[in-house]
Amino acid sequence: MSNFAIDAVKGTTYDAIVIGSGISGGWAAKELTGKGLRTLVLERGRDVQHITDYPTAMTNPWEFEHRGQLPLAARQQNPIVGKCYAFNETSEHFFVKDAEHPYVQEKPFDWIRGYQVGGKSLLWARQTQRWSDFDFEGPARDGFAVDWSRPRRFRRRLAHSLRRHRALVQLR
Amino acid sequence: MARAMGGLVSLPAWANGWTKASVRSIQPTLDGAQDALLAEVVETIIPTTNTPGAKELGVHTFIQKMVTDCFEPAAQQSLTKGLGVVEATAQQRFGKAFAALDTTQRTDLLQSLATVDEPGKKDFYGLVKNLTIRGYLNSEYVMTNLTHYIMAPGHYYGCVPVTPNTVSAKPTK
Repeated sequence: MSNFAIDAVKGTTYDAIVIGSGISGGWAAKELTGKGLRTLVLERGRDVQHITDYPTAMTNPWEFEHRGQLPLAARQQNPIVGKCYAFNETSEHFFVKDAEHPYVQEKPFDWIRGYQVGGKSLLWARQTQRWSDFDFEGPARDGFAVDWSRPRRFRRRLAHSLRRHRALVQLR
Repeated sequence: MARAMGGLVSLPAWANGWTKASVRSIQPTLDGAQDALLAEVVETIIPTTNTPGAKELGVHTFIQKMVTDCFEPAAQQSLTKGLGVVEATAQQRFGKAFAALDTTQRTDLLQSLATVDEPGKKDFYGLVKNLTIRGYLNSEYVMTNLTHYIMAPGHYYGCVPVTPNTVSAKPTK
């Protein structure tokens, strides 16, 4: 029976396809699969295995050859990604180097990327801000983008969502 | 016990390959005399007391590693030139090598460099002092024995015995 491709269409048909496994894609995929949707996640970068692919996670500060600072040559070769505060000896392996995927900057735009499963979520600072009304009213007050302070049900939904996800990412 | 063993077994292979030698594969880049002189300079900045000094913790080697790999070529010249100035000043003012001076003379000499804005003086002293503090505070000895580095701080103790003192007092009206 295995020679008959009768299940081929079914096997390659998905309810949802998520492109990129970073913080947004990864989260979207989790939500979709949680609702029982058959979900395909596409990731252009390499796989990152938990524990074994974190080469510096257990390294003590004094064990880094330059105590965390990158050598001059590495910084000179990466003027764009080097602008990211986290591009240092402890985490440079999760950043896309300038020479690997160059791009044209017509206007200044520092495109900091992490091509791997988990994307740049592997590089976040494990801190997130709790927004106040003042923050939500910012766009309306300064006249840019959309007014985040209304409709009010949007904020209620966001608050609900935050409560739901807080435990998962261990925000306290 | 089983859980403790499980924790050990799941340690990744690369973590078992660490030795003192592989972690500290740092070689001096200055010549012998300058390397020894830099060791005396850092020892003057952070001397041995009831804790080890900068020389014993290899801070002078760390400085050379950092300046060679991470700094602009100008800093390397500043380091070499400054060490020359230190030795020359010692001979000129005291008629002795820097290493042969007593603590007061050494301190006095370094402080005099710190105030003179000439190549090989203020810039040299600033560079060396900065890296001495950094290398010392980030050394294994200091982080382990003095500042008590914890990789993941803020441990949550979920189960502690409750004594009457643990419960806060009733608010008075």
